[in-house]
Amino acid sequence: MSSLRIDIWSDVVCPWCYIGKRRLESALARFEHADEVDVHWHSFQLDPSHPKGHREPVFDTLAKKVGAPPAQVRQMTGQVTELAAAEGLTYALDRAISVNTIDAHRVSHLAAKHGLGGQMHERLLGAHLGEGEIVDDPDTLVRLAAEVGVPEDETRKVLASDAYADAVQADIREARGLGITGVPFFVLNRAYGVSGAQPADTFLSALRTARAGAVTTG
Amino acid sequence: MTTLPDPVEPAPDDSLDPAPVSPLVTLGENTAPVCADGVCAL
Repeated sequence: MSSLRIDIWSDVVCPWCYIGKRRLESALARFEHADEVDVHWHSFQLDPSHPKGHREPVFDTLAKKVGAPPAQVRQMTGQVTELAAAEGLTYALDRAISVNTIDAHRVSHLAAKHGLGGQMHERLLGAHLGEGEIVDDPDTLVRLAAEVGVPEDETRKVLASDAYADAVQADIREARGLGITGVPFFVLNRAYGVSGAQPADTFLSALRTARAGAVTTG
Repeated sequence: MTTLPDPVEPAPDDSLDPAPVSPLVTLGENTAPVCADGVCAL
């Protein structure tokens, strides 16, 4: 029986979210009660104002946001790429394309209905951050979803409608209610908040604290 | 014909929409990297 619930808010275009995911997984591999853990992924949009359908290289988007030339942005992303590599992740941010992530999140909610929410989020993170996949392209989303086991016809039907848009917004509202302003963000047993791509040891300590609290109060 | 002045929209009152206070107990380092407002601390 699950005695430790982990709710994670993340965006599929967030480099620290993928690193944080790996570090949490590393902590869970050492956590003595990992079999009691139940993970739930939630949508968060880093830039909901990004115009739907607009695509541009991530370096160009970042250059505009931070007011630095793309060459400097490329240099700045070197550190996160190195830290990703330390977690076994291969980032290719020079190929990454900025998009509005609402459709990717809607597909993630569909996948979650099939019990594949974690797998879908993992696939989308890898596709955007490491493979240069355009994660607002319907055919791409259908293909990626199929790779994790979501029937193609269901994904196409979702993308042709506004299905799960309410669920995405509900996730974002819930995040705001919890005071979450950045991702990744991890909530343990609805009581403890862990912000950012923490070291695996920190996650492990937090897991033990949350479980001890659950055992004491439950 | 008299024209009415354009209605002036009152300035938004930030005090009506304060940043929510998190009900969560914070664990971990507060310097861990995050992405927020479309920008990631790189």
